[in-house]
Amino acid sequence: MRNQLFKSLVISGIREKETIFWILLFPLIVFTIMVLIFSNMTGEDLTFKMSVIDYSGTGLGSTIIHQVFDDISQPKTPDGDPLYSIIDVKSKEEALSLLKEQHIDLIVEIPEDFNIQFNQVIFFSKISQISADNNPQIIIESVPLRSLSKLASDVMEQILAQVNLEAAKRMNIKIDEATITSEIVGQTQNFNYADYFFAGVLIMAFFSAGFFNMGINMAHFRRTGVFKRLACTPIKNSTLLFATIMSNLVFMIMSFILMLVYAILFYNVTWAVFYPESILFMIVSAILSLSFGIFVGSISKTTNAASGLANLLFFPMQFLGGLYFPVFDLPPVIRWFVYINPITYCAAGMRQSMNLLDAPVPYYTLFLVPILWTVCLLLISMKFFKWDGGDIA
Amino acid sequence: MKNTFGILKALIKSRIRDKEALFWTLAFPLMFLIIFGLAFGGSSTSYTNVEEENMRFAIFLSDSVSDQSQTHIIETSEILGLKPLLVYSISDLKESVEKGYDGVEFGISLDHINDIWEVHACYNAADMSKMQLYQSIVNNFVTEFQKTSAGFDNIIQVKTVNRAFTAEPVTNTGYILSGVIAVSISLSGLTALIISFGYYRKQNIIKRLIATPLKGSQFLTADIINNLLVSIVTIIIIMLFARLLFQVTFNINFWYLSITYFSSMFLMMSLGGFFLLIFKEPNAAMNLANIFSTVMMFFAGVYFPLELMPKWLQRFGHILPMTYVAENLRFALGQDYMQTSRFWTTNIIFIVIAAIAIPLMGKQIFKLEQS
Repeated sequence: MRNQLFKSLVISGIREKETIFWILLFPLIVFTIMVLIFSNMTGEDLTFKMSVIDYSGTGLGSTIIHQVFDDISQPKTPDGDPLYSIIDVKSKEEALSLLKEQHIDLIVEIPEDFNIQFNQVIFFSKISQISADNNPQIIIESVPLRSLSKLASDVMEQILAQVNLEAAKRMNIKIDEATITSEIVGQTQNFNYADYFFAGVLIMAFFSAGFFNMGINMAHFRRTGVFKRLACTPIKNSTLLFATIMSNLVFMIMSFILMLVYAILFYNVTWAVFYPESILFMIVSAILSLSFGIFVGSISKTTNAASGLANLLFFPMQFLGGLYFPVFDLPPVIRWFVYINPITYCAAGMRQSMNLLDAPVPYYTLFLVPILWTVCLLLISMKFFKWDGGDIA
Repeated sequence: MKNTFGILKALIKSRIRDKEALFWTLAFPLMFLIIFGLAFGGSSTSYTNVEEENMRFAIFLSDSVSDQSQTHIIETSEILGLKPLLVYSISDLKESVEKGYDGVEFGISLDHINDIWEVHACYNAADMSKMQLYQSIVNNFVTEFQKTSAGFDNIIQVKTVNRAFTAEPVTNTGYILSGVIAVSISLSGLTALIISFGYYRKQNIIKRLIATPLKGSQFLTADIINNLLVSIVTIIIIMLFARLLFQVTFNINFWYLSITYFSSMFLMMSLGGFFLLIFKEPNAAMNLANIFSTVMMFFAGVYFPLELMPKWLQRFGHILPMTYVAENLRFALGQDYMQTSRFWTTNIIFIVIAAIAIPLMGKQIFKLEQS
């Protein structure tokens, strides 16, 4: 009887297009989108457009600056784009209009007295003290609210800082060389966005099954009188509950297999998801998501109310649970939610167990918080759930 | 007119009673507003515009670093608006970066050997999306520190001028929240006809209405007005929340806002209607609408800057209507500037598409029911 009920629930779920979409297909879409966005936001093929307004005429200073600009406006490879494309303009007004209308990202202005001041600094600074106020100046104009414009300005500042350093060295000013090395901490293997999102989206898929399949189905069964009718049959209430839980676990496993095959075939994700600790975190996440489902199904009187409540809980929990972006450095006003959110611990634990990222919380909390939530949710559900024929217990 | 009004009243009541529809039209955009506003608005964690001021970093100095150099480090940090946190070992440095103690975002260790500064930067693996920014800050820091240590003033001074091109100063939060409103309009429009026509058709309500003297055009008009009203209320609530929670000042041009709103809603409605015609089954149409809106949300430059994506993704983003809805809306709400000709062109294209598509689809749906 138990097997038949379980089988019929699985088959009925598979026939439901909604279930197939939200639990099996939607995670694949989200995973693809996230990996596409974040893996490609490296800035490696960035090209900025700028206009140069030179009021200084001919001189040593402006010649050096133009040489630098010529250099950065050359493509790095034969078929590549240059870092900066220079758009010719006749006046400052034209340049401002281009900046305003987003045709360029940056305006560089070389003022009229640039060459005179440059020569003074270069040739006379050793003879007499020249105030920094009289140093030649270059004006950079950008729109900081536009990402590309802000970046174009930052990069240009760095380029000009390097020009300054080079100039100082040629003036025989002793500047100690510097070497920069870097290291990424908090990970035990090479970071990969596909692995990072795989762990996050997998948990999202589990919770989708819990909240929407388990939760809404429970409310639907009660609303449509399925529970009531089954209560008249020899099937025990606990059998129905068990079959519902098991059928949802099957959907989670199906989602996991589909995600894994897709992610391995197209994104070459790690097999670390099969580490015993990762499997343990998957089990914890599955149990917790089912508890949320039971909770939603227990306290909602109608399917619509269950759906509203599931959405209301699931959306903030997934976005502020670190499934898609780091959440531990969010402003304090919202950080409390991150810390009480059990998805935070499931995601952090999963990534730590897959050797992707170390969790910034004590190890025991990775299990303790989800378990505490599970216990509380089940206790509340037992208190409120009614079959119209008896309680869960 | 009376018939249309009666149907409109019934539709509004039904929408208010439908908790799920209420969630998607009101609670969902509000939640996005609060989450994204709190998470990314005006803080150092923003994806679109990161403020470097007062960014905290951990620093470890080896014994070879003189007291004078320590003073230069402090001076350099002040110049760049950074706040150094001194730690006493490399392991402390790594731990503070990893755990983000005291808001530390990255770490630097400094060693001075044979007149060469050896700088070792530590970044947190969890901050991959901000790695470029941190690397650029470390580079700036090192260059500035070299100059400060040598007692050398820049030969060429760089003066930066920040432009906004808007009537009122614009904040990062306002910029993002305008995008959230664009998402809300797009979602309402896209799902509007599917919810009403699709589900009413499934429940045989349209069939029953056809049996009455009510004309299809009257039902369509009432349904469109209902959707517009609900969406307007949602937008007003979102804007009020944005004002109350985040002190965002929208410099609204009501004329442009109205045009953007109506053209975007109508365009999205026709897209939703198109999905409904393809699939006939409302659930399938809704699923397609969900996929489409999810893709649009991420690739329309609302949450992630389109310009920082590779060219092919940028091109993809530019074929999505939400990209233009967001652009037009930022302009109408005074959050960014755009060419007026571009504004009018996109809106006219939207309206023309909708003016042709919506009546045709309405007719088609009623025809299906009659047959």
